[in-house]
Amino acid sequence: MTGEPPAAVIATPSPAPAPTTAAPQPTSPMPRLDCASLSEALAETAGGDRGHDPQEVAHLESCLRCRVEQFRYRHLMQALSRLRDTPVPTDPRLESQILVYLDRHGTRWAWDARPRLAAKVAAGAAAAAGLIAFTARHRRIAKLAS
Amino acid sequence: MTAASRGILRVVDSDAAEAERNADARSESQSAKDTAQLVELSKSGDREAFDRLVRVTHRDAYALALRLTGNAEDARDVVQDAYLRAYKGIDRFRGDAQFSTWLYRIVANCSNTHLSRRQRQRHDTLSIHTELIDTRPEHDPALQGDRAELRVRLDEAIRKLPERLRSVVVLRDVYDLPHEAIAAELGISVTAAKVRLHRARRRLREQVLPMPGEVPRP
Ligand SMILES: [Zn+2]
Repeated sequence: MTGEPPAAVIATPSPAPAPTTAAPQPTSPMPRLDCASLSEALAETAGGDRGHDPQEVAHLESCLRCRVEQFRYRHLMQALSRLRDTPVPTDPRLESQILVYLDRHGTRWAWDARPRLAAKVAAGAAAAAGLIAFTARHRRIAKLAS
Repeated sequence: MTAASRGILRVVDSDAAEAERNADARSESQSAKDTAQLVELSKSGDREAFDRLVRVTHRDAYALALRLTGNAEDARDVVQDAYLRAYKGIDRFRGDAQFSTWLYRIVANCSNTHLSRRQRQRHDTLSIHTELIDTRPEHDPALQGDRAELRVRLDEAIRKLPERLRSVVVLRDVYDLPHEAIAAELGISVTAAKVRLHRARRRLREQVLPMPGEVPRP
């Protein structure tokens, strides 16, 4: 791997200088970020959902440690995106296991035909009940008439 | 070998590479067409077409399930459920998205349901793995090792992440699903999905590419 600063330099972070006075600093209106805050920002920006704000850029320009961390996040993101194309060991029986599972739980008959069948049964039952009621009424009328 | 013959060989090599790239692109677009056709046939109730969809997509779906669940048995259960759900819901699949993306979302949802049921058991397993990581010697792998080695370490680190972190980083950074889709399938807010993602990236970076003197957190 090239392009990384030597380890001796990496191991020496450049923390934000401690304020020596409570008075406001007219020459640097932005409070400086510390390495820990920038580290959080690096995890956020690694995927490219947002870019760095000016404060973060200023810190990165002045801090080798954080630039190294940024480099490692880039490396991590590239490795993650390559994983998708990496095959994993797959049981050769998996395909047939899925198909058997579908046969058992997901046939068209089970999910599509069943409601239609139930509707037919219900309609048949209703028709039979209607016929019985009609016959009974007809018999009662016949009885009254006689 | 003369400079001229080396030059000719380079041209031949680059032509062959170009031809291979074109062939790859053609076969990719052909397979996308085939998948779209199988989806249409499946929608019209052709079970055989759906079986063929399973044949061409199940390795990918299983790879995602394995990365989400961290073990083969859970991954198999998740994939079976996912295909059942896909089969029942194929009518709802609109052609504007890729079938693979639609299937990944179903796998993510099934995995989330499956793992929620087994949360307690998985927690115990993770505690054991974490102890194993802590005993590994310190090294600076960013400066050594090849891609294959990095991939092995990364796969291992992903497997050892807590489930809630693992699912977001796999779905976002490996499978490129949008934050909104991830949040919807995992039943969390987009903000929560992002917070988990950043935490997961940080843990992976610490485990796989630690800074000098950095102790990876469990
Ligand atoms: Zn810094």
